[in-house]
Amino acid sequence: MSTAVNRRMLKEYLAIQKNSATRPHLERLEPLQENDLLHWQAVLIGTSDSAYEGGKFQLDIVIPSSYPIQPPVIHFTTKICHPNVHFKTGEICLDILKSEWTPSWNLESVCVAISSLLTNPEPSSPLNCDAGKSANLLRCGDMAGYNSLVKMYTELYAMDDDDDNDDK
Amino acid sequence: MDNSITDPLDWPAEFAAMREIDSHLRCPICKEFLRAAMMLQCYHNFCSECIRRHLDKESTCPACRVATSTSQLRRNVSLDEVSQNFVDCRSQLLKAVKGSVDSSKVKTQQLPTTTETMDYNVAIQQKKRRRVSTRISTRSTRSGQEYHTAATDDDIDDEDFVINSQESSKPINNNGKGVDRQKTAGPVLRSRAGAGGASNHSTGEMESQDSVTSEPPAPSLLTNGQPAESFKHNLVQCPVCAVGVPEPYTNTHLDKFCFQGKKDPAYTISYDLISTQAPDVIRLYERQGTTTSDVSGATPASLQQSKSSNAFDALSGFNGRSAQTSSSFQSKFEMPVSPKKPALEMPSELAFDFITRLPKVTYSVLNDKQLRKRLQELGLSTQGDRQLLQKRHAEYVTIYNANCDSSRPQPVTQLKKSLAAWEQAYEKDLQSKDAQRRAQGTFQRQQQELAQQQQQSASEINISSSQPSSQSSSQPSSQPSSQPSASNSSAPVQSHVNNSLVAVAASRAHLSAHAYKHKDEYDELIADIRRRQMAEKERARVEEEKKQKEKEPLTVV
Repeated sequence: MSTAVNRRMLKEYLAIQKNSATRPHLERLEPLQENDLLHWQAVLIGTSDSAYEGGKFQLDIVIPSSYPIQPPVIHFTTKICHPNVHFKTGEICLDILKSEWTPSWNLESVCVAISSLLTNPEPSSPLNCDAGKSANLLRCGDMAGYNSLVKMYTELYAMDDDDDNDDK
Repeated sequence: MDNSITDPLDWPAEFAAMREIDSHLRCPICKEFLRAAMMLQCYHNFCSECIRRHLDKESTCPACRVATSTSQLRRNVSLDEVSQNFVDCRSQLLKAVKGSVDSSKVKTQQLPTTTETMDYNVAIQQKKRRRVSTRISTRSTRSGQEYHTAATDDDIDDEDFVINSQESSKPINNNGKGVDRQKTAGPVLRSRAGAGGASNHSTGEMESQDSVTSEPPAPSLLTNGQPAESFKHNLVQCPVCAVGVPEPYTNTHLDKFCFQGKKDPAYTISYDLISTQAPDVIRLYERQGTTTSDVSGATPASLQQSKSSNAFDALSGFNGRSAQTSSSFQSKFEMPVSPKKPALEMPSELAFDFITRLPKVTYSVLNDKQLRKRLQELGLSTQGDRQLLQKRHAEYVTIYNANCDSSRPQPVTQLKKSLAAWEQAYEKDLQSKDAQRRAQGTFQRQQQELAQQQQQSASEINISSSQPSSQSSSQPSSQPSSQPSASNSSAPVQSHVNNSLVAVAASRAHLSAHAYKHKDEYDELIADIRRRQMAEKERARVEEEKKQKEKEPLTVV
């Protein structure tokens, strides 16, 4: 069983390497270590049409041994202000990672889904307790407020030159 | 199956159609080529093992989420054959394709036609489940045109199929459809290979298709791909027992012998052998041709007399139980109709061993004893705890039933081996999870102790804070015992300090629950906030100093 997982992950790894050019939103998607295909890391790039622009968000991906029958366990390791992401744990509230998972999905498609979640938040099921505010802002239609809040957090945590800003 | 990792993108970009074929012949779950292809009622195909595993957990189609169940699974025999044969020839084909890309253009013009026809074939069998990917757009304009012609042919075939199913009064089962469609694909392929896919050619194809499909389904099914024209009486191969049968007597053969699980005395020689002695067999058959009456009398005598090497012998040599079950099974399900190398290929003793699938078990209604009994009946180990027993049984049922669906089934011993391998992997997995849990447990305990210490020290400070302190009010320090020394800021309001410390102590109790889990994040967060505050204070102090410096010269002057 576990060999089946490894085979499938190896396939995904090779496929991802081959068409890496077609993913502008995804900077990196690869296993943490060469010899362990069950623990991956991805880096999402904030799209230019969202408040996450310029940010780089790291994802930690753990593949269960019964993958692809069971979904991968994914959470953000970069702090991110988003109504559907837990601010502290990085847990993602996305239906396809939970009840709506189907084995036809793969890691790449999941990353695309998470990337589109960034631009299309779902305020009706907030996970971000601190930014329940942000969900409230969204529900009130205060896009300017929401965007500036997100932008602030993106600049605080997801920018490359975060530390430099601090020192100044 | 070979163990090398293959991928649709192995095909060069010029042969985008090949990539499509390659990806369509793969199971969406395991991404391998289909093994024992099974079709759901939404016409999506999967490996038997994969889809059974998935349906154990969730009753929806993995591709389109339509509600479904294991009872909806049907074998997609022709797709299975296509997939298996594609696997067999893939490396050669790939070599040829790659070679043609390297060499002159003349060669590359020939190859796309073959790939296109294959694409067409797959398109029929996949029932237009064409995932239009962005890859198509990368094709050259030449192949793009070809793609269009293939698409229009697709439509034509669909119309034809609709008419066909309306005209025929007989209900055709899934299996028959597949073969019929494959059959209609035949003339199209041949004519296109000759005429290069001219557009006005399609009307002629329509006619030829009609003439083929208007035949009664049974003969067309049986003559599929066999050089039967060479015989006067049109000997055909029985799809069930793979013996040669004169065409007019196919129904008698099927009714009286095949489905009864008995051997037909008239034609016990396998189809392959018949090609050499056809006249004799036909004569023999004509003598006994009216075998409508006495079946039982004829059977035993000739049963021992001829020990030819067909699979039907294997059946009669097998024990009576499976022969009985086979008859009941055959009336319910379609048998594998493989146009070449049928049952003969597999070891004879398991030719009909896998005919009955194991039923799905609701484990919650079984007690331990009953579950153990079930495992024992299957010849499985009864060691381990309840959960392991359940999983072992479920896993075995899955691989056993998947093996039933395969046209090249494995012996039971092989299944037991793969079950043992699964169990090893499962135990390893369990152990690693255990280790993780234990590590987490110790971590939590440490966190608890830490939190208690913090609470104690917080309360101490709370008491001591009634005395005037120089501590900054706005610092929500996580570890008050180790307070930062860098704060010679403006004089704090004492009550404010008191309040904030009380608040910190109160909120810590609330936070500690979270803190067990996410200690790192909290520390990071707090450290970050503190760093910012320090920086701010530094800035404020620098500004103050500047102001003072500005003031100082003024006073001096």
